Amino acid sequence: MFESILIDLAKKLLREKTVDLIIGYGSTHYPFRTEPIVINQEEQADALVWNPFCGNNLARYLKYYKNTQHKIALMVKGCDSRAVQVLLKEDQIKRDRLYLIGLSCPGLVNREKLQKQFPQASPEDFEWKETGWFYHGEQIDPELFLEKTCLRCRYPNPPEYDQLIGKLQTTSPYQTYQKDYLDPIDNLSSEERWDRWSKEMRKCIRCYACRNSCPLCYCQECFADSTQPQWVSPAPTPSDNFLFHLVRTMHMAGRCVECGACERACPVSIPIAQLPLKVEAIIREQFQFEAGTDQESAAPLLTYRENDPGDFVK
Amino acid sequence: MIESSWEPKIVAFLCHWCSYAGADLAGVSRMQYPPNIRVIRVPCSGAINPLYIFKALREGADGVLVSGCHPGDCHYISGNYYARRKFYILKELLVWAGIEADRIHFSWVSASEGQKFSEVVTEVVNAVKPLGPSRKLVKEFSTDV
Amino acid sequence: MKSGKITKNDLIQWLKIHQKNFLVTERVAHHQPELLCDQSKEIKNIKEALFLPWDKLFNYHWENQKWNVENIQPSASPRFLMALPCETRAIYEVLDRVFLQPSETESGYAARRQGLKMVIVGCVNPEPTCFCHLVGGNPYWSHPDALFILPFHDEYYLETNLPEQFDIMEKGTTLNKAEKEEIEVLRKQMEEKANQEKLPEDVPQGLYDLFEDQEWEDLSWKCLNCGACTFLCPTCQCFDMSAEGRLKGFQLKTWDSCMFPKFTLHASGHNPRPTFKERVRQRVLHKFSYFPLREEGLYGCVGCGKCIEICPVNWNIREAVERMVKKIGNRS
Repeated sequence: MFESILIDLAKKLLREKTVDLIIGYGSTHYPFRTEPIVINQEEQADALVWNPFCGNNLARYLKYYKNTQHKIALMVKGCDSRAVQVLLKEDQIKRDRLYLIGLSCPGLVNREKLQKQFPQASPEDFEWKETGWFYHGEQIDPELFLEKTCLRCRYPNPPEYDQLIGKLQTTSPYQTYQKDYLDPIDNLSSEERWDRWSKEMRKCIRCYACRNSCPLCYCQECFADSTQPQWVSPAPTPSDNFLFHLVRTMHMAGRCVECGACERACPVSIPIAQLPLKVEAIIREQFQFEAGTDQESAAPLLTYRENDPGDFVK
Repeated sequence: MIESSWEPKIVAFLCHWCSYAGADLAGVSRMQYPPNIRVIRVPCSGAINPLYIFKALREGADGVLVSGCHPGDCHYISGNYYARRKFYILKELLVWAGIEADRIHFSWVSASEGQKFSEVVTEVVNAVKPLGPSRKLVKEFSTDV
Repeated sequence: MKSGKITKNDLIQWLKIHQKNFLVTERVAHHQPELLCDQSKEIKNIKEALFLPWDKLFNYHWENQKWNVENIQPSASPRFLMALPCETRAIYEVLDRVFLQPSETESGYAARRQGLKMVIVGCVNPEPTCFCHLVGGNPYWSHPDALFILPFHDEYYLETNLPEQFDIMEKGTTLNKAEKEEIEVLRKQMEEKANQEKLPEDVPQGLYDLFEDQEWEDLSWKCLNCGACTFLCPTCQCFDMSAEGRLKGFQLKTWDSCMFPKFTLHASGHNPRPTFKERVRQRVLHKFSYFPLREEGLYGCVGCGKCIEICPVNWNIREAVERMVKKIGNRS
């Protein structure tokens, strides 16, 4: 139902030349996967889809158009819209060049969980109503199949959009899962935490899928590719892997919009979103700042207060 | 019990205008403090990129000390305020990642606080020594540079 | 060629005896978890066993006014490597060709290769992303030097040309005539299907001629230019070298990816593959054009589909090739 509204809107935008191109989601040969597509003809708009497998953060593609003149329409979920806000704030693109097609998002489905819990399912078996998720008409626990980052979503509604597809959600559907993602690590001792992270970092192959799928990693030359000076070596040793992720997390501090695209992109299933999500939780608590929610407040690392936490300093 | 003869190597990033001067004062005043630090002078604590701290740990530093001017006294007005925020986040992240909290230290030492500087260094060395040589985040390749 | 069959329990017993020396690929562990013993090592990518993610080639130091180089003698203990036919084909037909050329043998690879005994598990659960038959493979592909095992009724079929290397053959029982025929028929069916669906012969040259086509731009737009596909691909073989250490150190060889922007960056600053379009085009052409043109029709892709499975944007090399093949000679 929402798809037809979306397609009509897309056709209208292209027909009336409100925009030059539309970046959105298209379907693939595989039932549980979508792909990012770019269209510039009205006929191509029939290819657009909107379903709980639309996992990519499309704001990532805006960097290709930074210096062009195109007017771009972009399909944005809550988290993606926040990413666009951060890009606007960081002067990466001008607002008048964008038409944001907001999507009211019930959360994305994790394919691994799906295969485990519902091996025979097809996309039509699931339905999202305002009261929750339904499988073959019966209500199910979203923890069984939703992405971990979506289970703790605080922005199901895009904070900024030009047109909304779907209805505004009055509360975040998953408030109860807020703590589950990070608490297990909070409760470990220092050595246990290290063991847990070492185990994960051993899996990392340094493919940079996490970095490249992130809309906010748009540096022309990443520190990881720098050879003069070399901060991390190209070899995927566990310590350099962890260093890469820790430094990237510091670069995302105050900018991460918690979309989880990094974790979905990881080919070896490392729960990599936990690192920036923890930093964002700290920033929310101590500095009362959330990236991408408004254009006025200064980025946390570009400002200060007299009474900032300072007990850790001797 | 075997007495360990291992001594930690601490990399100290000192801001030129306050902490470095404070360390210098400690020196000319002949104040005694452990010789474990290796000083790197930076213009301001706000100029310290977290990458430097990571690099120090990567190269095998057993501990890192970052020291700047007191809040309100920064030679560049507000550099240390930004530093305070940055390092708060960095420390929380490193501790959450499983790095021992006592390996990374921060302090405000002014140019006249030679005594404080020697106390800070003593405190840092005493905190790092029981942790043993750093092995987390140390690069696997040992070469001369 | 010796063949036989063995019960599941006996097979697992044999695997347990050798488990410490067994490397098992993730694909096998996923589809037949009973074949992965506790002390066997699971590897994500078959090439990790031979072409290491990072490797020291030689040590060097500056002394007496000159560079002194000490070769590192690679050694490898004898091991078994259990994988699917597509992955094993990547070793025998692609990586061996690259790293074991008579003129430029890589000693580390050669040493590890020598001690490796292949166990090929016939593929009975193809993924929706698989396409080995398009590129000359088939789910029952085997090599005479390897041990081929295939789930067969409730037991396993065994086959090898080197029974002295695989003592499991002694524990097997012989097949009766009907069973032998059944295996033959199955094998033939697979081969026929593979031959029918294989890409046409003119594809390598045809793709080469389409180098300047506009379609590459559309095809490559969504690619994120990470290296996930190349690092999980069993045939990708690009590597980077760097000298770690100034006056004393070692030469480091690591995996590199043609998808990385700096892959073809020259010292002058010029980059012949500056955008995603050139890099994606190069990846497709390398596997489906340059490699087969040089290696008498053998594709540099084994059709395992791993890249499609893990690509964050579901970039599909099979679809890309099929799309471009349609344009060869303007066939529809």
